[in-house]
Amino acid sequence: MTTATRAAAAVRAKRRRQPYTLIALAAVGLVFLVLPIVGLLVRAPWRALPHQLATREVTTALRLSLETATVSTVFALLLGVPIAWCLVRLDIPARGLLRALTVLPLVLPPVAGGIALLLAYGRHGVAGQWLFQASGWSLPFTTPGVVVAQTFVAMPFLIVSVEGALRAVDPRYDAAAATLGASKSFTFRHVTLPMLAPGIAAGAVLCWARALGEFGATITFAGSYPGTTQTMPIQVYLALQDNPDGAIALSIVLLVVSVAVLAGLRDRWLAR
Amino acid sequence: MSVATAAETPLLSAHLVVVRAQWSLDLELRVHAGSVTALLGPNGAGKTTALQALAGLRRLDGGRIELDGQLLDEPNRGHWVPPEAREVGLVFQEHLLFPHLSARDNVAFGLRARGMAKPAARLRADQWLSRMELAAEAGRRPRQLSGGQAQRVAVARALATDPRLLLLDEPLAALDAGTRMAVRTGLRRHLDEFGGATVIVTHDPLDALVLADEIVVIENGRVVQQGSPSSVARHPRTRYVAQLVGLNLLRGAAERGQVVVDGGGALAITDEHAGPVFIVIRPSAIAVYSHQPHGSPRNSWPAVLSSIEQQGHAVRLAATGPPDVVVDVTPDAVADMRLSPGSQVWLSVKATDLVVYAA
Repeated sequence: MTTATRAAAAVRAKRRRQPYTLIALAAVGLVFLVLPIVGLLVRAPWRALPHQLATREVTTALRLSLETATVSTVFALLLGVPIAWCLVRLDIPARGLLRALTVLPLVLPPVAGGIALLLAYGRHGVAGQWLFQASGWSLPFTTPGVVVAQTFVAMPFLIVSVEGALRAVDPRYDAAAATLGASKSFTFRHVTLPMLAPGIAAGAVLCWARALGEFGATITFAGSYPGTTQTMPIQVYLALQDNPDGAIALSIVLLVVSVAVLAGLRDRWLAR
Repeated sequence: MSVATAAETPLLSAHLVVVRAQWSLDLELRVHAGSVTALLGPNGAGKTTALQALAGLRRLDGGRIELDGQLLDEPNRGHWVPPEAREVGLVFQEHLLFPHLSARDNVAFGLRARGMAKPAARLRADQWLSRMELAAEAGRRPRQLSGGQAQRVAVARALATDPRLLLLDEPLAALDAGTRMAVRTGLRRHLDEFGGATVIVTHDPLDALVLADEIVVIENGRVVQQGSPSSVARHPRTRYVAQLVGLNLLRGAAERGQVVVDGGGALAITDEHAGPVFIVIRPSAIAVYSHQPHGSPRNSWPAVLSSIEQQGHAVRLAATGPPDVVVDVTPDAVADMRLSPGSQVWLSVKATDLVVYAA
């Protein structure tokens, strides 16, 4: 074989090696993901949108959703950051099992999560019955119940995010702080927390977005009472039965919120 | 405590015992106020473990640590003081400045942790940064500082809390060669002004020679040599120390003007010696020939080159004899004699170039 024919063969081989199959499958996948969004935008009743969104049910549901998602995120921060810290920094036995338990809601179907919440915190639940006997009050079908359902489903997103960020922080910074005379709590407040801030912020945004979109666990555990437990996703689902245009309009609102969340996380996910 | 006893009693008096499955550390240290001791040794010798024990980042398994009359660690009596309660400053190899704080707030951190109000702590921090000639960098974050500047901020941060014991863990190892020289010189000045005891860990003999008043050489968790920098450099007692200071160290038995080297070979000496001795040969004192040299030098032997490395302006040859030695030659000599690993050569050295002392 001469040098020239060998070079030509190499060029052909290089062309053949282009991963056409992979590129084609990726293109199909991209269309599959983007088409629903396009459909939503194309079919949206743009002109009637302000009117659709100005109704009382919509504004009530929107406000309830924003409030409960925010409160859920605060609870997730309060409980999730310490969980992440313990998982990373404490020398605990069965760490893998504990981590699996804390992030189980991530993979658990939300409806099953709602059932589980009823059995734990419901009027006859494992813990709920004590609460009911003591106070005559129980969580299900109340606004706090919505917060419980959302926190249950969304907190694992925060835990996973903060845990990843904490793992990236060199524990020798704690040692450095200790040799400078800092107590454990001073170090946590002045070293660990500030260094974790980007991870915590990203986790909180993810958690908030997940809480805002929560449907299955919420409707199972808290039901659908306008004004107290009927959140945006539930409202969308109900509107689809008798007012499809209203459902589309509400979905547009949720889409806008999602895009805003992505923009907030752009440094993490959209960079290159 | 009177001034007289303060001068005699070491500020730091420690017997460090740390036991691990494969390895143990057993090290005695006494460091006086205003004096600098260097722990010199190869990687894995236990230097960093010793520092961690002194700082309280690792508990002793035996022995005790006493600093300025205060007992810090004595496992036999169940006594242990946590790092945040010790008057000890530690400078890490990779400076470990808090990335979210400015240089000023890094230096102020220890004072803030001890309860000083923010304005006062920042004022003190600025004074420290001025002493380090870093006043212009006070507002910068660590990633905006050069390696040398960051290391000086780290020293200021450790000194700002006014520790009685300053620990430096390979403080210059992460710096490039040019910066290292400047930082080393500056550090020497600050250590001279520091009134407490200083322990510096390094594997660079130059750091130890320049910075320390006393050198403790450790290998495998044990002290193998201890003394002033000049005595350690002039009379290395292990192959490691000799290699560190760039010398050949041979051990052998002297008898009637000659030394039979352990491991093979014999060298003629001029001094009167008998019994076990060390021989120190400067690498540049050894000559290399392609054939057996005729005439004058009595000490010549055949050898095979095992490696050739450029080191600055000289080329360092590792030659397998016996005896095995390292030799410094010029790049021209390497070219003229076409030396390469595996080359058969003859080495020779004048008896007057051998430094012999009792082992």
